[in-house]
Amino acid sequence: MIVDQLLLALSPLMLGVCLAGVTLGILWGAMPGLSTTMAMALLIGLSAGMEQYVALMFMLGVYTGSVFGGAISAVLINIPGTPDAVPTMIEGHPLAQRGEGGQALGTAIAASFIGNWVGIVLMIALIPILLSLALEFRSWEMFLLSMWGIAISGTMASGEMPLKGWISGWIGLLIAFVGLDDIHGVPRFSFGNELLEDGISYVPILIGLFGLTEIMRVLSQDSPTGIPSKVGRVVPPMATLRKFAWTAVRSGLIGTVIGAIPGAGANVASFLSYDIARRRAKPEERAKWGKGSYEAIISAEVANNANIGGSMLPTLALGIPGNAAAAAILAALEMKNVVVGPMIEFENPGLIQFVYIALIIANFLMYGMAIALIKPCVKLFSLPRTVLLPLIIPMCVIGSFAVNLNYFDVYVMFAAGIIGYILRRFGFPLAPMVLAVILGPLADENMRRALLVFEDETIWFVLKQPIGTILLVVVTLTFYDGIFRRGR
Amino acid sequence: MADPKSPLADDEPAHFAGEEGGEENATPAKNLAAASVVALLGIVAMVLSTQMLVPDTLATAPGLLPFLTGAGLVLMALGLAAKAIRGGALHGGRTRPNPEHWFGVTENRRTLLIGTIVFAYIMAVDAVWFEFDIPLGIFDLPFSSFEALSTLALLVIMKIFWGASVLRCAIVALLFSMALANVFRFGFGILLPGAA
Repeated sequence: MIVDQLLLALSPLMLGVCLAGVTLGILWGAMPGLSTTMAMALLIGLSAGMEQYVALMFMLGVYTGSVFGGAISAVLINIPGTPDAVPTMIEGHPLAQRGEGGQALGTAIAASFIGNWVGIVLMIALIPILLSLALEFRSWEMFLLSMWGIAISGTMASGEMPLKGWISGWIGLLIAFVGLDDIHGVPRFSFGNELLEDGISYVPILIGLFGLTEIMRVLSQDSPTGIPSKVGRVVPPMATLRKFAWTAVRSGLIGTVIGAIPGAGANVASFLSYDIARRRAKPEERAKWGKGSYEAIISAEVANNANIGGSMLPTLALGIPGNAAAAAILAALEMKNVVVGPMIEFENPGLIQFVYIALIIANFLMYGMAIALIKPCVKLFSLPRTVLLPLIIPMCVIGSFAVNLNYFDVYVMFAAGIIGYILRRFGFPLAPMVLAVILGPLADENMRRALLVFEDETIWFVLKQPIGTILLVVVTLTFYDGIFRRGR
Repeated sequence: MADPKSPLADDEPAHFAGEEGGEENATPAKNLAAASVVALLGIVAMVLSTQMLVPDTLATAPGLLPFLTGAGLVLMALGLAAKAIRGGALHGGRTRPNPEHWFGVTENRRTLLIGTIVFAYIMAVDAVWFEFDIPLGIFDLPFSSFEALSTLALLVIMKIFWGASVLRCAIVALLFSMALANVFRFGFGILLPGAA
């Protein structure tokens, strides 16, 4: 089977699609104000017209490219293309000002390449374990897993105020309940409106929250246009990479683990890895921190790229997206009637292997294209955001309409964009809401099924379910940690 | 999020700002206002959940999880309100929103403007429909209301925010709208809103 998937992925069409995706991703990520999540959300609509594997290859290419792309503007114009590139900006721009921009970008490219490899290898190693565990999950366990996904996403997305992350998630749950319920077909929160009885698709919500909200946020602010530093020759410095090999491995592990936690994405991974690397750096190296450290660039770039493989772990094995970008891939697959989760190997044999191969190909192409695209990116930086961002508005409209060919979805997208903007102004994160809209139906159906199974049983019977009890403890600890530790 | 301009001191722990941060926008007064709205939303959800049909037992009642979610929101809102009050939400003077002050901020005015234009654009695409072919010799290029309205919306937004000449904005807007529509129409076979 793996040979079939390899041949499919290596076909000229697929290679071309991947190359286009990686190129678009790098350029998109390099433009300040255009985030990875925004790209992925908009691609859902575009993928509606693509064949399943083509769509997957394209989206994984964009995902891989855009996570690296943020480093280019971070180093050259001191504005991070994506939020996770802030540590790269802190360290890379001083190097660029000293005439070492090419070396800094070369380090970022090589570190991203290594990071992707760590993420892919760990994903390949851990997916079978996670899948065999997930097959033991029944309704009770699936309910608890969904609720943990929403809760931990709230905690990870909002930092010091987990309450706000949870509130965002709980509002997302209410949105998920709109429409006819799956068990009895009873209308919920639809107020007699036929359009609402069909339920609210999470694709326009994703596009609204990460497309329109970002346009409104960024376009309304003054946008400084950076003056690019001289790039010089872009050479991945092998000696530097060998010197900091252990930092790279550690950062890769951090990035993958963080990526696998729902709600925690490349931003948390790169900051956490950067901070840990700083504490563990040798004194002479630590002295360079903040003034241009190659080790720091490696720590951040390896982590945010390893995050890609990590985020695909729970997405494929459990059907719980590791972050909003992975949620977009999940949505694109769902449009093709591909349901990921514990049964993926039986229902869609070969899909996981295709994802492995696609990520490996995208990684190689990213390495080559990143070097080739640095100079064109410098030219792109002269384009003002006030031109680029408005162009995304029609894409949001087509993207949300294309999924169900229903214009009601466009209004949903607009409403989500406005709600998202208000929530962001009040300091509420958006990723937990998206996750909750996706996981809400799963949580609802499984909770009611579990309650039916447990109807005549004692509490001891419930507690005797080992995986369920472990998950119950984990959910409780997540809330405890949020309330009594972070929430102080 | 750590301040990008000031690298951390050697022994200073990194400030955990979460994946999306955003705390810079939240004052205790804003948190108190948000808590009130969230509590109201939770109560409404609870009330509506109790009105839902219960075809079988309570365990499978369609309103069960919505009710619990509403109750959860009320509890969280209370937590947020308590935190806001501890943070001085009631001592910072007036907590009621001040429209005059709100409109005085350029960013807010710009946001409102973008929102209004986007809403008008969405409404127009829904309401207006036409499509005709432009003969180009070797083939006919379709032109629908979607391209026309997108061009108009982009032209207005670019003129306001970019500030280039009307002609320049119009050329960029038209070329992009045509390219986007035709990539979706012919490249991906996706029906456009407003098109036949």
